[in-house]
Amino acid sequence: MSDHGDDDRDLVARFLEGRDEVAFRALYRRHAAFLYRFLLRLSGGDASAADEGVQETWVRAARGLSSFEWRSSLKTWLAGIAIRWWREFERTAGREAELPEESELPPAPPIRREIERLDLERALASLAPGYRRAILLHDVEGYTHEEVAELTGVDVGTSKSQLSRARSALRARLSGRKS
Amino acid sequence: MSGHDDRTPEETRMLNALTAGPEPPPGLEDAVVARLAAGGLLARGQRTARLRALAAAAGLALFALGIAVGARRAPAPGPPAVAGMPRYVLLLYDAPDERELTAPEMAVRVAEYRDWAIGLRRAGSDISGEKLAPQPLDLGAANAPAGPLPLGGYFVFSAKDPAAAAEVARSCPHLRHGGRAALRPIEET
Repeated sequence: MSDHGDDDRDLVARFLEGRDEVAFRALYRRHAAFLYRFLLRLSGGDASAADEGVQETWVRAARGLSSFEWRSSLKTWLAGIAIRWWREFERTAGREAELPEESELPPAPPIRREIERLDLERALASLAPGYRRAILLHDVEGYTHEEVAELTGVDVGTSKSQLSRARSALRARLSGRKS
Repeated sequence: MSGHDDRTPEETRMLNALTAGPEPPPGLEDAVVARLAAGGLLARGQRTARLRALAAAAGLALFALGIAVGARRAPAPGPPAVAGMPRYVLLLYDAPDERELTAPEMAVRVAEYRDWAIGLRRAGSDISGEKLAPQPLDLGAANAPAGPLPLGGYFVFSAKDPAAAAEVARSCPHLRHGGRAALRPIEET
């Protein structure tokens, strides 16, 4: 993932120097669009949850930035905070954020026709939350399996397996099949 | 599962296209900044005067910070707990000092309303709402006469009965700030 890390480093340094508002707003504008669309889709289209998630992510980031060691990009670090918040949110709401058992999923053929964006959004929103997360991180946002594994606390092989199941579930939805 | 990329070109194209939008709602940035400032995580800079002018000129639609749920961006069924319950609309009329608020003050106020609505949603409510722009559009002869208090926003929510709806309405932070409200049952047609 490339996200112009030098600019982020400069802005973070300026922000930490005096908790500078202008520097923070610049950081916000660089990453808020990603965080919002990611959380909106992760929550199945719940705009209220996405708003809350964006706010909480930035609050936690502002608290933790001074100890951020730049072992990942800032964007990846923020994504990790957002995912942890989302898990807490799902738990509070009494929902299970993980994936269904593999045996529940029949294989589905790849899609070879044009799909309307709205149909895709709906199909994504209807997936189990863990499947949405796998597709959003890898196929939409472009994280590698290594990064997904780091972000979600699984090993690389599990990340690949989860993505395969998630794609199958998405294809089934787009084909009008239940999964 | 081998983990290889088995996406078809069509699938790759349509998934990549999702990196464009939806954009964060206007006002979210100010709400985040207000929360950080309130928590001592950010020092307010020199933007206040400019924001105040912007707010006065354009009436920032800050209320939509996540209180406006679902309807426009992603329709979703309400929580099971409220299915079949009567719905109510809570109309919020501005407090006398409402229009005097600076943009940062308004952002804090909005965050308070938003947190109230989110708390209700976490408890199972389907509440949603919007802030209304200060100036209505001109409908000519069809304009309704202006009331003594400007209508500033609304919430819509389900409740099991009028007493429960009134309880929700009375807990709205708008009333603590001197605003007035009207609670009306929605006639389902």
